[in-house]
Amino acid sequence: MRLVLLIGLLATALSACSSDTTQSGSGKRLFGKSELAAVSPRTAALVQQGAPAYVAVLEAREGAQTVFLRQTVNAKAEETWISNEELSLGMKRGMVLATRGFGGDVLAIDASQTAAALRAGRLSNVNRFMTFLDGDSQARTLAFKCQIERGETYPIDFGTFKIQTVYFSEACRNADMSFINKYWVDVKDRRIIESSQWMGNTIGALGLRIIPR
Amino acid sequence: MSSHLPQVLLIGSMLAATCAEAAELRFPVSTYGTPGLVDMPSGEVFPDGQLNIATSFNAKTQKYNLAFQISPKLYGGFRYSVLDNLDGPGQNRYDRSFDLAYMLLAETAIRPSVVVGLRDFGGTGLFGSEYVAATKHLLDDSLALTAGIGWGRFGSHGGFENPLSVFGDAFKTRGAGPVSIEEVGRLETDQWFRGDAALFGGLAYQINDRIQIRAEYSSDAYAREIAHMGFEYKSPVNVALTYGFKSGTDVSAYVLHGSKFGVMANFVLSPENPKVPGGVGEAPPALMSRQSAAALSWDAGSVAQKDSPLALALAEQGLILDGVSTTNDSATVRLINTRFDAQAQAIGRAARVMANTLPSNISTFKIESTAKGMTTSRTTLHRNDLEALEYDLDGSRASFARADIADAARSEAATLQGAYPNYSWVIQPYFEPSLFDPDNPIRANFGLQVGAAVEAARGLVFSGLVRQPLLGNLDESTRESNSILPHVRTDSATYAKRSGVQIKSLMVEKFFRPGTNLYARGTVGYLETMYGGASGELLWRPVSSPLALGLELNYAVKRDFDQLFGFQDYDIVTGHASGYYDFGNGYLGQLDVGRYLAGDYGVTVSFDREFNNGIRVGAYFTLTDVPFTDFGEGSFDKGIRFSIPVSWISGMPNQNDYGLAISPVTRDGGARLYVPNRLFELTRDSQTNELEDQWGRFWR
Repeated sequence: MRLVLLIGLLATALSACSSDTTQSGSGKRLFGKSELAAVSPRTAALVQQGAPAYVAVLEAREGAQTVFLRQTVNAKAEETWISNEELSLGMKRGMVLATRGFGGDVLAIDASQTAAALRAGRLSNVNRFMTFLDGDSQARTLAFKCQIERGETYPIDFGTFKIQTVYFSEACRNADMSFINKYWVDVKDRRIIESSQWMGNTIGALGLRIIPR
Repeated sequence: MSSHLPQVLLIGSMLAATCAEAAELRFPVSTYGTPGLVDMPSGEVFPDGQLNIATSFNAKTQKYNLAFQISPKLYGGFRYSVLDNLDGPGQNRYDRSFDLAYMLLAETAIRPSVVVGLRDFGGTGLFGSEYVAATKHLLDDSLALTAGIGWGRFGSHGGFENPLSVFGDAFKTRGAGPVSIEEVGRLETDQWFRGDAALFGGLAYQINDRIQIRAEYSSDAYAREIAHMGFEYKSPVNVALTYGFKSGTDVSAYVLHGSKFGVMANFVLSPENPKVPGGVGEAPPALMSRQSAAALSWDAGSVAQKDSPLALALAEQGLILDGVSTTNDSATVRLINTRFDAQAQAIGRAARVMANTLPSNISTFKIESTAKGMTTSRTTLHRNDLEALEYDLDGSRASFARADIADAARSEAATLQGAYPNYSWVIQPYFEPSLFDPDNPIRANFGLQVGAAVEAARGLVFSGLVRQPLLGNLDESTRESNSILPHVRTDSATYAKRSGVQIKSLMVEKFFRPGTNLYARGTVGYLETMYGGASGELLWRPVSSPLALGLELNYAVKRDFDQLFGFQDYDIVTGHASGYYDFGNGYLGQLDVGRYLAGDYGVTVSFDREFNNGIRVGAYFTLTDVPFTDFGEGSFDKGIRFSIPVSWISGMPNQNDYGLAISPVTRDGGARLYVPNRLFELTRDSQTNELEDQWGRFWR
């Protein structure tokens, strides 16, 4: 009897055959799946156009690695970067603005004060705001107090050349949580070359390194 | 332990695996599945909205408990118990019981929390008891001390004269309770808080993150278990040791009254904490920069083609373009959402697709949501707002504020060429459980079903569903109906026994909008397993109103047991006037007044709590002019139901739900016709308040 129940539950949980082909938009998108996925035409087109790219890792999940390509930039200089796994990132000058499709997504981030401090290259106390989509489908904005500190200079090795960077840490906290973001900023043009930015409890820290072209 | 595990338990264990972070503090749950120590209740309630699934076993007793924190102060519980030999040698008692408890006082720094509760208030009275309990936390909340006073079963050890008898001698004696199975199910108010009372108390101490010990002084004498089940009562003290897993699930071992060893497990489901908040489905399309008609090679004539860039890009999002019209500066689309359970998410994606595929002069986007061909609401959005708010910190609230949501009684979009007729089919396994037959509390059939539908024109659907049972034991039931009413539902076992091909439905449905705020449905054919006939429904529902009113009229004829084309000679006109009200914060009420299948007149009262993410828990009861004695076991129809969106469990967009309705006994009184696609549920997703509840997903 128990067997019938289990078979019943399992079998009915399996997907059925049907004429409906519109439900396909899901299933393959696991960040850093071990086997190689087919390259989507969209990804291929961006590569051919020479779109800027990031190598991205989810630091909390071993082997979770992918590449994001810049798809578009709007009038406010907000960029959308997409991955072959149908994930996307909102970015602005190397700072993450939003995540989409990761699970536990950040709908929007206002880290404009941090970005200004990094450009100016000085120690400062800033405010950071992050709006999450919570489990009950509500947008919730959290505010953090952050302290930015400057560290050593550090060369990032790209094989055929190196970029000299200066390290900044951004230690943020509010009443309930704390995290530290890290930035390696090009000493020459103040571009963020590499970073580790916290995207909430579900995603954790997102590591990004630009692929120079 | 019996091998017959109710489905409730299996579902519970499936869900438990998906629950996320654990609370640091273990919440003590009793063998009855409610806040408590071992057998005794505590003065606590669950966190608001929590669904708790608990099982407890010892050598001769099984309990399967489901509890739900209905509001911050009120919780309800349902319990299915099996007590070996309680009714004589070899005669097990299969018992269903309901609990309710209300928190009178919340805990403060100096004061304990206080809960008043009713246990088994409408069942056989096997566990019938009432209590007032107080609990205070000490030592950084690691120690919880409980003291209480109980009546009924909880007043059976160390009892003394009821202190409430100062309010009258009536409190001194407890009513007799149900004398036969026919009387079961009524509210035994002549028992509540009456007869002797007794004191109980105990403590729960959390040693570390994982381990908790509990000890109690019980005021339950276990008289019936001693008399019929050979229970050995050595001591009034019960103890338990609990180990908690990170998932929130915990397991306990306990000893009752110094003699009986048992185990229990407790699964916690917090509706507001799905496995993956917001889901992991693919990212939405990014808003691209504006392009002229020339750059898009766009022309107004070909946009209404099935293979236009607009239609194809919408299809990529699981949205079928059913109709489209454009003017010089605006475009209206009529959409069929086949993917997202949150309509706000479908609208958000459609808006970005429109912005990307329509030329820059088109700056206003009107998106019509549909249900079975009927346009329900029209959401008007502006290109400027989309561009301004895509990555805005306050984008969710601001985009809702700038959206206009209106009734869409008439579609403003011209139907796409070649959209109809539209064919669909499905072949899938099915699973049909039948719970609570005392001979075998869980029976089920498993088989294959084939369905097909043709939407001949917008809102006109021909459909059928055929089943072939493959294996199972529904045919083993030997229960014959003993109902003295027309057998409108109690022949269900006779229908379920059939092993041949069955036509589950074969019908034609027409859905349309007769006017502003009005929806209509007409259905003719084989409507459900037991009935065929005709059904008509009219619903008045303003798009932004918490109130909706409906009228339904049906002519139903009882089908042959073989569920092919024939009918039996029972027919009836039934129908209801219905009122629906959204009280806010997810509380929904429904009142149906009318005539039921057996010709009885009465009223059904339903109350549900729905979370924004779609998890829903509810209860209902029906009272009709059928006297309780004629109704039979249970006295009147009632039940609880819950449903969980597949997306809540999988994290992937999906419009299906896992649902379970538990009706302790289905009899012939207060029975309704099962008509598919009743209008209220059908049209719900795209109403203003539903869209607002899920608007956080607009930008997801």
